[in-house]
Amino acid sequence: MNPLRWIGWRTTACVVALVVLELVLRQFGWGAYVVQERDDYLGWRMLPDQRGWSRDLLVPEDINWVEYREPALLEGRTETRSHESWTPLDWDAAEREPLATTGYRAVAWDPPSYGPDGRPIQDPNLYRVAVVGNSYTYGTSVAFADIWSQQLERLLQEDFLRRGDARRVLVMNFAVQGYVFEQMARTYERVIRPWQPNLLIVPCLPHDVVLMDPSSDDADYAFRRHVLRTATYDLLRRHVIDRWMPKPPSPQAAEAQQAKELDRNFQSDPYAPTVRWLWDHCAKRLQGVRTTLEAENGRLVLLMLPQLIQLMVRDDRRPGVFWQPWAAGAKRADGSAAILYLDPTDAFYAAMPELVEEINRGGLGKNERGLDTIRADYPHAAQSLYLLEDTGHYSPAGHAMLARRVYERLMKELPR
Amino acid sequence: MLFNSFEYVILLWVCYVLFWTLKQKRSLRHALLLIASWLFYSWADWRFTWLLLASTALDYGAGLGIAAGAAAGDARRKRLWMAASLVGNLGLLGFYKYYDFFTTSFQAAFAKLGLHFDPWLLGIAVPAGISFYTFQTLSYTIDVYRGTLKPCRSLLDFALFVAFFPQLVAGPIVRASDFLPQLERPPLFDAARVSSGLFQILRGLLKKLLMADILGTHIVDPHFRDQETLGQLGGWGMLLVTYAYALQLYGDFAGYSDIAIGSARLFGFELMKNFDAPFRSKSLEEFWSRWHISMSTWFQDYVYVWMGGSRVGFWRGCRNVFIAWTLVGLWHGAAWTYVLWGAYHGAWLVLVRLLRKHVIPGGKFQPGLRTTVLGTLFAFHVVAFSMILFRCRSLGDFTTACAQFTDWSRALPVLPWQLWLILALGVITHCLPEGFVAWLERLFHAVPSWLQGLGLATAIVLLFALHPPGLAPFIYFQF
Repeated sequence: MNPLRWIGWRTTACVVALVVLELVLRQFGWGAYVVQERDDYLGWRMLPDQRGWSRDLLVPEDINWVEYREPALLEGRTETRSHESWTPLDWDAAEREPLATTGYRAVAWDPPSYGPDGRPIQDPNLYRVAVVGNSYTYGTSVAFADIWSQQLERLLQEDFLRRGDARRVLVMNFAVQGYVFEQMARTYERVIRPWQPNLLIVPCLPHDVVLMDPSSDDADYAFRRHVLRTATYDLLRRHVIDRWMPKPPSPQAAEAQQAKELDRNFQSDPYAPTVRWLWDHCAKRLQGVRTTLEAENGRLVLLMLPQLIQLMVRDDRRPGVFWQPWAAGAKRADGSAAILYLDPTDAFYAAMPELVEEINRGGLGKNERGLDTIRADYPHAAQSLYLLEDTGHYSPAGHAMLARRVYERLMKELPR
Repeated sequence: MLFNSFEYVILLWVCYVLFWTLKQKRSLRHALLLIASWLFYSWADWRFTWLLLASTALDYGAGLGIAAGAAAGDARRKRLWMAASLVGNLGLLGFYKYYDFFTTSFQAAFAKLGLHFDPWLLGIAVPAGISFYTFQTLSYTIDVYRGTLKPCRSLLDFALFVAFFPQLVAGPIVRASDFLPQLERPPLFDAARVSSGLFQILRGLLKKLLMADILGTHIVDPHFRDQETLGQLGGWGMLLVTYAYALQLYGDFAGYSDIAIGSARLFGFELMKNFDAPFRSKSLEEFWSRWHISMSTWFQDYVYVWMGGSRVGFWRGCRNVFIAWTLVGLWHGAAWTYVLWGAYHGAWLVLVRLLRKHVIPGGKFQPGLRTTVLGTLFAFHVVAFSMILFRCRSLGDFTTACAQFTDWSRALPVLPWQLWLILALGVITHCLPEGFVAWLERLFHAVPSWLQGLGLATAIVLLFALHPPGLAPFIYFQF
């Protein structure tokens, strides 16, 4: 009657082999990334309840620590940075970033508040700010506490305390890597609305206005979530599946193809008249979001995210050219501005003038992954608000700068 | 629950360990398998479990009733119980599987005559496995009625015969005369049998995950999506997609059957062989002795023979063949494409009979390499063409697909080399010598258990790596 008798060497060897393989691969760093899965409505989303490094564009996060140049922002932080220069990330010592049960990069949020009739309401004791976005706001390659949204939360909370406002501030970051505007709008409609945010911040990059790519090669059934998290699958994914297996055609292959074509045209000139309709389409979508938000006592904030490449181009090649007049045209019934428009591009430029000049002269290099890069020995590299090996994303200093500028404008514009 | 899911691996493993732990306790052993089988069935959708229970209760009672009638010499009682079983089983099948189909077909026919009505429709998916377990229980009552089988007195054993999870949802359609005696015998643990079962399961998983799912995901499904995608194929493309679907269907269903047979073998049960390299067949008749063998023999024994078979003369025999095969088509699915598919095979089999009788001297060709190659190619293409009907969602899709064979100007769709490799492997597996798989199996048995375990671990890892994302259900689950 002893069940162990029937388990036998075959099963034991099979299970032990799988476990040993998994453990060995983990020791060698496999399975250290956050993973995502397909979502019929949003395109893809991150798996909830996981800890790992982001794998946006397959960039390992190993080069991104820099000392804050605005020490005031460190107040209230329990952790301090001792680095004076760019250093490789210590994989063993560094803590992986958590993803909450909601599937967003957060620790935990208060659940939505509901009125006696069961409908969601704005909690009078809580000031909620919802932030959508993509890798810039997700904080690719940056520690959780350093993301601009988290820093903004601290700054706002301190301000509330100073003013004797008893409300707690909660900045909820709903950013997912790779999302474009359509996905952000859908996130608001499907995920954020029950929280009834006081503010919704929509960060804007030129590329966000392209059509969302409906296809995703990630899996879509419950058990596979566990497989996706294993080191073994990570190894297979990178060395067998992505390299050797043909990608399954998407059910929306035609849409995906169309999106890809448009994307190519858009990349060559985001402001060409031929792609103007994308901006208009986005504006219409945003108008819908704004209407819903206002009906629920919220306010829309449009935030232009400064990109390094934009600091080197003429003013008329920046997304503000489209969004500023559009936002200015949106009025409330009483004639006041309905949308708060923020553009910290000039502040970013002012923080790193020599570096920008140098880049204008010498240009950006490319690393082995094909990403724009400036090395640590690049003249004035210490000024950089962007990552050195991936100048497409902010360094912690960049996040701090962005948080500070957003905070200052909010303090100036919002009713106290 | 799907065979290719992790849940099934757990269920099978737990059942295996407990089954052999309880090998001295007959009732507990069978109760374990029965509970596991009901769990297996109700895993995805528990709402139709009552159908399985109802069918079990009905035929258990009918078997005893018929036997009691026979013992009392009461033919009327026997007939009544037999009729109750037929009406009950075919009634359930007819209502859940065919009601919507016939109602909408009548509605469309009346609409053409100018008579419009708005019928009530079930609007639900066909309960999983209903075609299989109703036929299985029917075969039991018919055998008891014919006197070729003694009724099963144990409700537990009978319920297990109906619900035994490896074969419950998509066969093989087990005969009570094969299975019930196996329940009577005390199980004898045999390590060679266990490794044979595992080998069979691995074979099935390879066929399903690496052949059927990949060909389906990359070639068949994208092109059969709608008439527009079908209409862009051209002759060469349609030919390629047809071959791919033939291999997909084979890999899917033969893979399922292999896993079912292998799983049953782990518990010491032998299920009948359901596939035997069908595309090696040199004729259509041979094909049907190698493809879904449990179904074709069921129809032969309980429909064709019941109608008189070939004993009623040549022409009536031909009629019987045609009717039986049309019913085979209808059994597969509630759609005109399936009915036509069955009729198509029936018509071919009648034609072959005619040719054998009136055209081919001696009724068969002289054996030889040329005859073998030509016969095999011919049989394969006749079958593969019918599979277009099997795959198309509507007759409109089928017409569009057939129209592609009139346009040979379009180029072959571009496929990555991996897909060509899988297509080639699908063909090669049918060209291997008959004893090759047996030799592989012997090789698998010969290695120590722990090495088999390492092999299984490697297979699990590779299957996860190579098969397309998602969990594709088995095609025959819909029947």
